[in-house]
Amino acid sequence: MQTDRRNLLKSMAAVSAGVVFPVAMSGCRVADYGPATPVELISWVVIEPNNTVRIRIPQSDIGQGVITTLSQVLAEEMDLDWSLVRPEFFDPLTNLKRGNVYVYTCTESSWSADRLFDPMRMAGAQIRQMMLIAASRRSGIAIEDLRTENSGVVFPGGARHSYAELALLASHTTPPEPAKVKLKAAADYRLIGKPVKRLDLKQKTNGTLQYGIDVDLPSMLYAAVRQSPVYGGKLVSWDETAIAKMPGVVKVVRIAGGSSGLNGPIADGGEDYGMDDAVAVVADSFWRARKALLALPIEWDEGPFANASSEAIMADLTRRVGQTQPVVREAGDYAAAIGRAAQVLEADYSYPFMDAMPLEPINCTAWLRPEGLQVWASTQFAQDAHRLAAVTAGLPPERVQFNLPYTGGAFGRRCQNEYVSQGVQIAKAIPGRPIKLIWTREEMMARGYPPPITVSRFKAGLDENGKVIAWFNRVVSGTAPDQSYGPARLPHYVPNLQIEYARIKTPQPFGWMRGVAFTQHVWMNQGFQDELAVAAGRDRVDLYMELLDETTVPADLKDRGVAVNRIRNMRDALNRVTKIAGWGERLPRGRGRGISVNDFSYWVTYRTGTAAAVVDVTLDGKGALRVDRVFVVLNCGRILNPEVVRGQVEGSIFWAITTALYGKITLKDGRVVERNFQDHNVARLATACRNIHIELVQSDEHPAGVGEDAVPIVMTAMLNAIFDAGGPRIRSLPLSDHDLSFV
Amino acid sequence: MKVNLKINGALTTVEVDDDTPLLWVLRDTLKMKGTKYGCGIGQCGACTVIADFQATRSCSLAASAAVGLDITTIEGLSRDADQFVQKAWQDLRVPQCGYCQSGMIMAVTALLSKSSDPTDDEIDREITNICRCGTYERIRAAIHAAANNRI
Ligand code: FES
Ligand code: FES
Repeated sequence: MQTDRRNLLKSMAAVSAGVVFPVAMSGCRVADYGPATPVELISWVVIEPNNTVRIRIPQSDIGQGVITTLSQVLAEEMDLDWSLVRPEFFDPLTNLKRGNVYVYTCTESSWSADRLFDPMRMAGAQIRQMMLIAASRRSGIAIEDLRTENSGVVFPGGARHSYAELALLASHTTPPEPAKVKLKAAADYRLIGKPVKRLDLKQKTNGTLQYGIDVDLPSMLYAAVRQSPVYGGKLVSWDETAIAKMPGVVKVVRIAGGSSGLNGPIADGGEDYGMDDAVAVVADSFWRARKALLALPIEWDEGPFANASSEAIMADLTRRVGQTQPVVREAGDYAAAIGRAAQVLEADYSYPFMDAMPLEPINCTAWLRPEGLQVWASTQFAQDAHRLAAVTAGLPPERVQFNLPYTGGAFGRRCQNEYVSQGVQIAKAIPGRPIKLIWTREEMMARGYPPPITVSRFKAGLDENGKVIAWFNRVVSGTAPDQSYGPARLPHYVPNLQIEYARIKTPQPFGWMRGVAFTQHVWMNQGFQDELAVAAGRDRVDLYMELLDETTVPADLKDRGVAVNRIRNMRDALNRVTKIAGWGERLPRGRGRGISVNDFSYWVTYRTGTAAAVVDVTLDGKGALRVDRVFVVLNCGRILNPEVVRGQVEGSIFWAITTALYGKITLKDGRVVERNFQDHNVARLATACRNIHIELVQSDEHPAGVGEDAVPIVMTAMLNAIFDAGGPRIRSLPLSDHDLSFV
Repeated sequence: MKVNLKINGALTTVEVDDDTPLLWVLRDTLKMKGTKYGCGIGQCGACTVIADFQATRSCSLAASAAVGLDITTIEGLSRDADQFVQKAWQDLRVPQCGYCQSGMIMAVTALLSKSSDPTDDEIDREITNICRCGTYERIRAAIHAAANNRI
């Protein structure tokens, strides 16, 4: 799972070795003035004759703004005129053919900036150097006497050549060795760190931006799909006669369950969680396809989960959390310490199934012709979508073109590409015609890939001074990859500690969701710590700071420096947030405050930001809750674009509020109970907080992710604030299941 | 059946099943993709258009029921994304993924046509559209900015 510097250097080497594809040269001398055709340079950019520059963005833009921020990174080192920058999404087939020249193409784990900051600066700097070499060769002037600015090379005396004029010549130079390329000093940045406006702002306000669902092709057909209503079910049969007379219906297609593709690159632990059988109705309009599908009788073999329910699964987890489970972290002698504690507390917390519910419904357009297969789909993982499409079509990868459009939200859901397999299966059944598959919202809710349902049991002992001397946590959760980092990567070194973790198989396959297991466990861990602080009669910050004590980190701990740094960063974030929030101010009954701090340190070498939050809530005593104010401090390393980062923090705040208020998917009789937004509300303007304060910490560290850091801490602070306001202690979600009234 | 519609000032006739929602007529028949599908049941507002000055969820309005209405879609707001609400949206950098924003802008345009300077409570009541990216605070600020710029 680990990425370290070594891998990074390897990927940078891949950049330097980037294949140069010269344009056709017939009849044209290299020295000829200006190319008539676009020129590609080391795979990353294409320079157009009018000097605009197409920058290849090897990530999906799911709203986090990479189309702009990653352009800033490359344009900075290449000294581009920002008004001439024209980003475009990368082509997975090119990337495959050229040996992963784009380095990191899965949009997950808030990794875009982390993984691409170095390679894209390097690519920009190499291309800039190639321009200088070209200008020097053409003019005979030494490179030292040339400089670059605004998409051109400037000669002594002020004359200049645009990059377009030099591009052809530059394409014949050898890209310089990365080791010999000097990157800019941060003090010289004109783009990185600047709040430039998103390049797609206009298209996002006039409806012209192209999302996957907007793909339109000549004589296109539309498909609506129904998967097994029970996870793991098998398709038995359907009765086509029932829809034979319905207008516009072209075909009913059987979709075989099987591989859904990897939910992350293999090197980062991607897993194939699979998909179930499905039936698609293809018609000449989506409305007709959907209507016919609703009228189509389908028989399913509902399989082993036909009677599964959240209730029974929760009961099973609760039973198991009473049994010994594998220990994933321990220290000292927990049993002895709890025996001598002055005060002992116990509590069970639980977390339901949830769904990410991006607003753009899932879709895929596929077109199989003798010359090959074309696919379009909004996805977080275009590279694997391309692979899956080829495998599904039974074609060699070179015969498959995957086109990545903009994505209308993803939040982890689109790491799965099962709908790409579905689209291709339908296209195979109707060769020659483009088909667009769209899932209804109902289908999306019925077939999510949730984070695991979880029960977490805590027991802790305090000494006479209210100091935590013993910590026990046993977690049992549903289907998921190993998420023991949730309970076990605590930054604290409580002297006597025992953490156990186990998983059982639950019906739905696992899926990533913004905030991942941190959302679950930071809340549960710090909810319980909040209980300890209350029991000890101590201020929460006081207790947190005592736990965040670098002198408690064992001297012989491997990677002790990382552990100490985590503690320092968390203390710093806590200090900052208490300052901007005016922590310590007492609020009257009915109003409460909560506080939380966290990083995303999945594993020791994981580069992470650190964030802290204070949330104020008001309870009216009759059951209504309002989030009054949210304060967030985020230290995310170097900031590429502060306005984009702020947007990610704001989005995370509302994500946390939705999760706390409404986040739950319920299984009953093997089926998801919630059908659409009428059964699963989300935060709207009326429930959104109106008072948000964000402090972004200035830092020269390598950029870390920003897409989800604020989710766990805001949710935790909000839920702890409810108790502080005089409401109940919240140990399960969502809040809509709780009675928040009090007298 | 043949349905006559007035969209962005132009009369057009489409041939669709009479229960086809206006949303799909716009998107699939007329190829106007700015109006988005999000839920299909009137919950999310991604499909909002303005019909006779009212914000209307086009997924829940049959094309046959749209006859005689004066319909404005996001495509009809401006030529160059410079209608006053759009401009406020750009100034305050509202969109993240952008998918909800056509519907938001249409709903807000309708609101501001009947209430030139809405209060926060009015905004909460009137704009019930969903944004999963969580751009709500910027939306609120942009509504106020749009109202101010116009006054
Ligand atoms: S698509 Fe019409 S309200 Fe959601
Ligand atoms: S900007 Fe993405 S749903 Fe609103």
